[in-house]
Amino acid sequence: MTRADALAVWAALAALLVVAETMAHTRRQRVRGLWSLTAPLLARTPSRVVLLLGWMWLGWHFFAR
Amino acid sequence: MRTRSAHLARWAGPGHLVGLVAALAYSWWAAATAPFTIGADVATAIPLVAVTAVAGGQWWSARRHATLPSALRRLDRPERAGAWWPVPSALVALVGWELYNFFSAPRVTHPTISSLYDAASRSHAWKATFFLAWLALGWELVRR
Repeated sequence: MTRADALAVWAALAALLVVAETMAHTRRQRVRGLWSLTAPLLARTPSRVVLLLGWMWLGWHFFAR
Repeated sequence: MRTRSAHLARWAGPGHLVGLVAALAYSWWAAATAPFTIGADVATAIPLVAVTAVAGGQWWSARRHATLPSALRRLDRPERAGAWWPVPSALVALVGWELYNFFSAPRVTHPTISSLYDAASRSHAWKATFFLAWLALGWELVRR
């Protein structure tokens, strides 16, 4: 496998996610979007804290370290 | 439909526009900092502290059964009908590909999200865009 192959897979997977999320916004009754799926997690304090900690780690990992 | 119009009207309001411009300016400044420096630590820590403060305030309000500030309340309710599997399937595929690349070598032929970000973040504009996206994600997490 070459770097170009790996990048092509990354692009295809990103496009798949974008298409799925776009379908959720354009066909609300047929596909559930990311926020719709995370709503139950955000409704409970422990899982909400985990999501917030994940967001914090993401920022620290990419921008500070 | 009315909730969607209200949602759009809310986003076009002066408060949100000021917030958006401030977030853009902050992201542009934060993107100018180099990782492993005090500047980058401070630029990243400020949103962390702000989100922690808002989330703590929400938790405290919920404990006291008080209503949330209007700015933190959603106008549109999350949709619940429809197939749940497309978005998680795409995410699982992404995570699987990330793990495959992470445990493979060399990195140049097996790029991970971090290595792709490292390459993209050499551009100030791209790094500012990623930072802005991260801020938006944090805001969405505390807004919902």
